[in-house]
Amino acid sequence: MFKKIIALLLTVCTIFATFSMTACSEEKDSGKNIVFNGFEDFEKDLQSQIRMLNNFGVININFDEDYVKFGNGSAKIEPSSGTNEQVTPTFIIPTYSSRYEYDYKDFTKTEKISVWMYNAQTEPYTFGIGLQIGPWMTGQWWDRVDRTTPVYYTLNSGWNYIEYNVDPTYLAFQGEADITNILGVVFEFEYSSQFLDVPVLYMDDLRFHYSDKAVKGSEITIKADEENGVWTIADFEETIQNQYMYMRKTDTNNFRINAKVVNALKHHTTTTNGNNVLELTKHSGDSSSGWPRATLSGKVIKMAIDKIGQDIIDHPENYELRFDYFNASAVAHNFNIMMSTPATNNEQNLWQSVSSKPFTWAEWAMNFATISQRFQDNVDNPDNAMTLNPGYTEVNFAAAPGDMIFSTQGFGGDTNTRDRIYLIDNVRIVKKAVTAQA
Amino acid sequence: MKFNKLTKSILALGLAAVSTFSVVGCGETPPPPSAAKLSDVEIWSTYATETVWRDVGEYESVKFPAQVTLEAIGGETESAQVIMSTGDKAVASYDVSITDLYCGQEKFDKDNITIYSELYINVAGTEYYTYNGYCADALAPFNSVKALGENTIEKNNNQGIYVSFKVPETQQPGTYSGTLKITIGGEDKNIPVSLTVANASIGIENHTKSCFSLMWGHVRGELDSTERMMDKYIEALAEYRLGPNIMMYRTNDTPAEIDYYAKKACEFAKNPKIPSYGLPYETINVTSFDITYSDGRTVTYEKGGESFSIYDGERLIKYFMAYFYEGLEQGVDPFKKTFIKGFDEPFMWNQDSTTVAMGSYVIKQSKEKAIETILADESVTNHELLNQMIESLRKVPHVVTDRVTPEIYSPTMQSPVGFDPEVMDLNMCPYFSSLTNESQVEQFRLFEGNELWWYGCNVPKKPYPTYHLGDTLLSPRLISWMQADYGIIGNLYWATEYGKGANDDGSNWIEDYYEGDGMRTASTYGEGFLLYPGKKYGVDGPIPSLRLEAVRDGLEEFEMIYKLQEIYASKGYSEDTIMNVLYDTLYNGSIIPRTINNAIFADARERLIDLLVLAESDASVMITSVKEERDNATYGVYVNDGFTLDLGSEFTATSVDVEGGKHYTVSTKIGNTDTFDVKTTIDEIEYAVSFDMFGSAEFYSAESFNDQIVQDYLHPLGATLNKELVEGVNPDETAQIKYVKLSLGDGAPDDSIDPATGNLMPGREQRVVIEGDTVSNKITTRTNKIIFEIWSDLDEEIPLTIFYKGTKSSHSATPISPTTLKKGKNEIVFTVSSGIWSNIGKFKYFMMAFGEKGDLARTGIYLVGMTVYES
Repeated sequence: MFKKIIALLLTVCTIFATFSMTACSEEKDSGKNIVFNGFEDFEKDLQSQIRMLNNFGVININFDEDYVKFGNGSAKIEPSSGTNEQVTPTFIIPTYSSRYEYDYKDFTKTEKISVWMYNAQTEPYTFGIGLQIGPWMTGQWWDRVDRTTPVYYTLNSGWNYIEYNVDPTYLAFQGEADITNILGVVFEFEYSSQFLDVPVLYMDDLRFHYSDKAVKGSEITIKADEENGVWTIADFEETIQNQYMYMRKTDTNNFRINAKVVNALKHHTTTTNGNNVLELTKHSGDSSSGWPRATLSGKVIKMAIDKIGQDIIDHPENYELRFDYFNASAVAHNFNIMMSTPATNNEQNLWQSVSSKPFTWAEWAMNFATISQRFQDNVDNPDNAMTLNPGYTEVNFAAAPGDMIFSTQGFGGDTNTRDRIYLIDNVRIVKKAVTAQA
Repeated sequence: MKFNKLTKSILALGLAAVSTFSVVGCGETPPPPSAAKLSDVEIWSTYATETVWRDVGEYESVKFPAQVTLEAIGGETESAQVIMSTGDKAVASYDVSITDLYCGQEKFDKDNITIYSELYINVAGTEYYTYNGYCADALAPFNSVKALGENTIEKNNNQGIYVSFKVPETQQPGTYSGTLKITIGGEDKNIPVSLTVANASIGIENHTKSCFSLMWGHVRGELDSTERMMDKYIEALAEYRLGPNIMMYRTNDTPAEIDYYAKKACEFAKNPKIPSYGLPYETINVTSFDITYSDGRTVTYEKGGESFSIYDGERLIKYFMAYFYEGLEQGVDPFKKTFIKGFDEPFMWNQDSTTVAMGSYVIKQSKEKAIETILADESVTNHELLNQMIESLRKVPHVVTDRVTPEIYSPTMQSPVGFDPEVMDLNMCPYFSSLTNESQVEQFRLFEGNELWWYGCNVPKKPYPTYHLGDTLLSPRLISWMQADYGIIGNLYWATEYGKGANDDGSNWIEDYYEGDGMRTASTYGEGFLLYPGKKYGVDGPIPSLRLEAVRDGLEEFEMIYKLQEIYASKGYSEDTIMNVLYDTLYNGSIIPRTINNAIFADARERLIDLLVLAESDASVMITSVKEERDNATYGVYVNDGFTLDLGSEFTATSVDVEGGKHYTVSTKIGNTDTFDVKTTIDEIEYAVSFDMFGSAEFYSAESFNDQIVQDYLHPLGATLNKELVEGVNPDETAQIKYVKLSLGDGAPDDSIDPATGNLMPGREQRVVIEGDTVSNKITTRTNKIIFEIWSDLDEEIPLTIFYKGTKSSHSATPISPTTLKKGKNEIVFTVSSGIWSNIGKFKYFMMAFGEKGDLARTGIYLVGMTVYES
C-alpha cells in the first residue's frame, strides 16, 4: 500500500510538473509528457479550445470531485445530436493557440496521447480518437479539414485510461498529413438523441507523451500469397487497419461516413478470412446531396504493388484490384467507387456504381489496365478537364497508384429512417492468370 | 476509481508542492498591481447610448457628475452608465451595489435593477471607426464578474458600469431616489440615483416584427448544441422585444421534426414577449414552372432547359397543416406571428425577377392549398379559431431581402413577370439605405396595406443605421423610430451570434469571445453578433451587448409611438405632424447625421414621453397638427371636455367643439415666442410638453436669387438649363412673387438631347446649382431649417434629391433626403442639425437633381422660393 502511495505521489508530482511545462510551453521535447488540457477552467480550457462541431450536445466544466481525476475540474460531456439528424458527435481540440501562445503541432516526437474518460453509464460506451491533419486554407471551417479515421475505444463504467498511439506509418496514410503540422485531436462519440437519455461522460487530463527522438512507425506487412497470386492490402484483422482509411475535408460532420474495424459477427455474418471487417456507416437523417466518403490510402495500395514488383507495372492487364463487400442493411442500394492517381494530379475518377443486395456478400474487381484506361480516356477527351501531371506520358495506375474511395452518394433515395452499413474485407490484388489456373 | 481520504491528502500535498515548482519553473511572478484608492479614480456618468472605450477617446463633452438620473415609463427598461477612469494606478478590485429606490412610501425594488460590468472587444479599425482600441460592448452581470475576479481596472483605462432599470408596467409615477455604491480600495462612493417614472406605460406585447437570426454560432461559445439552449437564446431575444428566424436546427423536415416545430410555434405564439418567428422552407429544382395570373393568363417559365430552384410548396403545406392542427389543439393561432424569410438578396445575386415571382406564387398557392384542405375537414368546421387562423395564414408575410428597387413590381402587369398580388405573396425587405423617403417606402411596399420590412448588415454603413461597433449607439436605437415614421413593420438581421472568427491564424475559431477580434465577418466590426455566450458568466443563455440594449430602447420607443398613434386615432387625429417635428431633429430620410448627439436624442425622447403622458391622461391632450408656413406657425390641439389648456398668451387661439372635447387652432408669427407650450392640470398635477420654436423665419422668393440659379457646372453631363420668370402658376398664389421656371434640356441647341427620342442623352442629368452670396448670406450658423417650395406642372411624379455643400467639405456634396415631386406645390424640408457648420464650414451651394439620368427633357418645374428658419 505504501508503495502505491509513493508511486501515486510521484505520479502527482509528475503531473503538476507538467502543468508547469504547459504554462511555460518549452518542454515538449523533454522526453516526458505534458498535460495538454487539464479541463480546469471553462473559458481557458473549454470555450477557447474545444471546437465543437454542430450537433454535438453539451460540454461543460465539472467541479464535482467524484468526476475529477486530477486537479479541480474535468470536462462533462453529454454527446447528443439533433432532433432527427443522426450524425456523429465530434469535437476537436487544436494543438495550438494564438491566445495562449502554445504550439504542439509538430508530432515528430509525439508517441501517444492519453486521456482519462469516465463513463457514467452502466453499459460500455464507445468513443474514438483521431487527428485533425489538414491541410487547410484560411477561411475554411474547421469541420471541413481532413481528419484521420479514429481509433475506437470501449469505455467501461467509471474511469478509463485511454492511450492513442501516434504511429507515423499510419499517419502517412492519411491524405496529405504532415507530421510536423498536426492541427488538432479529434474526439468522436456515439450518436444519441437529445430528447432521450443522453449519456454522460467526463474527460480529464489530456496528455501528450513525447519521445526523446523521432517516433518510429510500425512495419506494415502486406500478406503475400505468391503461390495463389494474392497480395492482401487489408484484411482488417488488426484494429489499427482502420487507419488505412481517412476522411477527406468534404466529409463534413453532417455528411460523413464512419469507418470502424469490427467483428463480422456483429452483423450476423462471417468472413472467409479471419473475423474482422471494416464497417462503413452512413447514418440516417442525411438526405442532402453531400458526398460522404471514406478513402483507402493509395500509399498502402502502393506498398502491395511494390511487393509484387515490376510485373504489375509492365503487365497491369494481368492484375485485378478486388475487395469483398457486404450490405448489412435491409435495403438494396448502390455505392460508388472512385480512384485517383498522381498521374492526373490526384483528381478523382473512375466512378463506378456498385449494387448490393441486403445481407449478401459480393466481390468487386477491376483490372489494373482498365483502371488506367479509364483515366487515360479522360485525359484524351478534349472535353474533359483532366490532364496528365508533368512527368507522366500516360496513365499507368500500377505505376502511380492513388486513393480508393468509397462514396455513399449512391445512397440517394434513402428515406433517412435507418443507417446504411457496408462491410468491407480483403482488399487485395490478385494476379488473374494464376487465379485462373487455380 | 475514486480516491480515498489519504490519497486525497497526498494529492493535495503534491499539488501544493508542485505549485511551488510551477512558480519557480515559470520564472518571476509579476508584481501585484498598484492599489488605487477611491480618490485616484475619476467616477463620472454619461448617457446610456454613449460608447466609452476602455483605452481611448475624448469624453469631456459627455462627462457628467457621478449621478444616475433617468426618466422612464412603465413597462420599459431604461439604463444609465457610470464610468470609472483610472490614472497611473490600477484598481485591484471594485465593488458595486445599489439600494432600493423610494418615492415617499412607494418603492422601486432593486430586484428590478441589473448592474452590468461592460466588457471591451478589440476594434483595430480604419477611419470608419471612431477609435482603434477596445470598444465597450458585452454586458456581464457584475456579480459574475466579481466572482470570476475580473472586477479590476488597469491603469489609464475606463471601466463602464451599466445600470439597467426594468420598470414594472404598474409602477406608480413619481421620482424614486436611492444610492449606487462603488467601493474601491475599501472606500465607498455613494452616487445618487434618481429615476422618474412618468405617468404612462407600454405593454410587453410588440407591434413590430423582427427576424434576428440565430445562426448556431452560439453553439461554439456555449459548447451546447441542444434545442434547450436554442430556446434560451430565443427567450433572451424576446427580452429584447426581438424574434428569431428558424426556431430550431433542422435538416430534413421529417414528420417528427415538423411536429416539434409546430409545437414550438404554438409555445411562442402564447408568449407575448416574442414578436415573431420564421417558418422554414426548402427549395426544389424544376425545369419549368407555370404561373396562372389573376387575369387568366398562364405563363410557363423555363430557363433554356436548365433547372432552377423554387420553394418546395409541399413542404410548406406540411408545416401549414401542422401549425393549424397544433394551433387547434392548443387553442392558439401560431400563424399570427409567423413569417417566411424567403430568398436572400436575389437581385443582388443575379437571380432574375422570375425567381421571385415564382417563389411568391408558390407561397400564396401553398397557403391556399392548405386552406382548401383545412376547409374540407368537417371536424374543424365549427372551431372558434378556424376563421382567425385562415386569415392569419393568408397574411403570413413572405419576406425577401434586397436593396434594389423591386423590378418585379409591375402594377399594370405588362411584364410577363409582373407581381400579381392576387396570386402572389411578396413583402420586400430592402436595405435601411433604400428607404429614404415616403415615396420609396411606398414603392417597396408594393401595394397599400402590404407589410414592409427592412434590414441592414455589413452594408449600409453609417450614416445609415447600423449595428456596427464604433458607430453611435443612437444608430440601432433610431431604427425603430424610423420604422414608426415610415410604417415599416419588420426588421431583419441575418445573425445575432455569428461565431466564425477571423483570427490571426485564420482558424475561424474564436478563442476570446469577449476581448478578441471584433471583426467576425466582412469588413465591419461587430457585424453579425449582438449576443455573447453567457456560460462563462454563469448565465444559462447569452449575455447582451450595449448595441442590443440600444435596439430594445428603440423598440420600446416604437411602442410609445404606436400607443400615441392609437390614442390619437381613437379621436380621429394623427400624431404624424407633431412626431415629424421630433423625427426631423434626429435623421434625414434614413441618414443619421454625424451631428446628432445624445443630448438631441434625449430631448426628443423627453418630448415623446411628454406627448404620451398628455395623450394618456384623462384630459387626452393631443397636438393634432403642426404647420409652419413661411413665417407663420399653426398648431392644432385637442383636449377632452372638462379640462382646460394653457397655451400661452403669445398665440392666437380659436376653438371648435368636437365630439367629447374641444379642438383648438393656435397660431403665431415665428419669432414672437421661443417655445410652444401645451399645459393642462389634472388633480392639481401639471402635465406639459414644450417645443422649441424658431427664432425667426424669412421667406426668399426664387426671383430674388434667380441670378444664382445656374446650370450644373459641376458635372459636365448636366442638362442644359433654360430659365424664365413667370407669374405664379398656382391660381391661389398669383400674388406678388414670380416663379423661376426651369426647362432642363428643353429645346437645348446642344448635344444634351437625343434627337431621336427627345430625351436627355444617356448619362445626362437634370441638375441645377444654386450658388452665390445672395443665398449663402441668408444661411448662417443659426439656421436650423430650410423649406424649399417647388411647383410642378407635371402629371408624373419625379424623383428629386437636393444636395448641399459647405466651404470646408472635403467630400462630395451631401444629399438631403431624396424625395419625389408631385404635381402642384411641394415643400422639401431640410432640417439643419446643430453643429453641422463645424464640419462643413460656411454654406457654399445647393444642387438639385431632378429625375433620372437619360430621363425625359422636362419643362414645368418652378422654383418658388425658400424659407430660412433660425433658432
